Amino acid sequence: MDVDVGLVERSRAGDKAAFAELYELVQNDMYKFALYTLGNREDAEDAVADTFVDAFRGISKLREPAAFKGWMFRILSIRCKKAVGGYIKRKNTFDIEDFLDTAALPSENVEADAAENVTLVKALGELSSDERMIISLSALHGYTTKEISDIIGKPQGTVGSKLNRSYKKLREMIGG
Amino acid sequence: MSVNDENDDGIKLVNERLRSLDERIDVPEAAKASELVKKLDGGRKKQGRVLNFRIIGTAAAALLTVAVVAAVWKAALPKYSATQNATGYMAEQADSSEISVAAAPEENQQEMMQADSGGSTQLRNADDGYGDIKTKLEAMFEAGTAAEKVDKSVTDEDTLQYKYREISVEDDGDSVSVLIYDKENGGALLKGFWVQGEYSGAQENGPTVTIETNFAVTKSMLEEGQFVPLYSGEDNLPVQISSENITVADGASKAVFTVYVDIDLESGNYSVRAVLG
Repeated sequence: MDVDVGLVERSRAGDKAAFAELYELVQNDMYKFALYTLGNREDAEDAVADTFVDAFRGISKLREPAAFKGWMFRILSIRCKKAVGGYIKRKNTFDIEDFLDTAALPSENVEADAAENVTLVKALGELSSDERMIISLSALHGYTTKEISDIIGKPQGTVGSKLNRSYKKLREMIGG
Repeated sequence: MSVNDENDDGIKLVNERLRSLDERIDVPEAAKASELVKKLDGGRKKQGRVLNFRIIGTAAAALLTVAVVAAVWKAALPKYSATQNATGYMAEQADSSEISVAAAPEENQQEMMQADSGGSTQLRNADDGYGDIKTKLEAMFEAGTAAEKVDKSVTDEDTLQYKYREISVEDDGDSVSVLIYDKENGGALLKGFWVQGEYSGAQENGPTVTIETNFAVTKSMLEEGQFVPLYSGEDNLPVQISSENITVADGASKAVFTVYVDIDLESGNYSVRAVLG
């Protein structure tokens, strides 16, 4: 991912507009990652908002501008873990509606397509939040187990075994 | 290992489906930079958390009130029975008022968790309603004349609450991830690391919390280097537990290698040691 070093430098100097411009590069990925992990729009928005503030305050700690996206994922994964901890007294809501914007991509076979996606979202809901984090970073962002290990702060072996388990579960649940 | 190996048809199918779903997710304006940048200028209000503040504020006030009553009551009773009665009473009060310590904002947690010594913990499993068996931590913190009974359950993790630190322990089966938050600094993350081994519990010993994991390993495996116990530094890179921090008990025969992570609650610093017993 190409990151404008000048934007990073300006962000470090406290330039909010520069940081917002930098964040635009990853904003969709951030929200979707939070949605996969937490399962509903409201919690995902909160986690993303907290991450945005944390990252702006801590951007001086970003050593390599090229690592910006991974660094953002790391902050967001911590925020998501904290949100999962907050589910102690309230149930986690995994909301299918928040995943499926039927107007986003018209399809020739809307019903079959929607049914497939509903099945997949339900299957995702059966995974743990860690498993959803790992599989989204792998399948959608192409990170290796080593990189995922760095992002979510777990041993590489643990990431590998959780990833395999997640694929197995999803395959079984979506009938692959 | 490459996680993008799509040779397996099943993995390829899952990836295709996920990518298709991903394209359909609508990203709300509230999650975009143009809106989020406004958060940098002012405070953020979250409905759910405002409610938590109110609930916890009430619970904290009730708890403090009860603590005062209990202290007066204890002073008025014969010494041999007072502690027992006050402790039991406080435990009941804490239970009935549903004190949500783990979900509480840091400001109020600090008031509620004045106690930071003499605690004991008990772990048990509980169903979280989603079909998974979760670990539940029940902790008793004693403070002077009163005690608080804190009942917490977290999705596959334990959260240990203390005056200065909130410690999140995630059991990943073959390893444990630990996050230490700074409660005095708005709950900011202080440290994060992992340690290998099967999670076997957490204990509070005065100003230190010790998290334990273990392996089934023999003395010869350890001595011959077939087993390399690892944990991570704060940079997430693996670190081997040094030999001077490994104690081999006399006549070790159980082949249980226990790793102890000692966290200093005041500083948040941690150290790792191990015993082959």
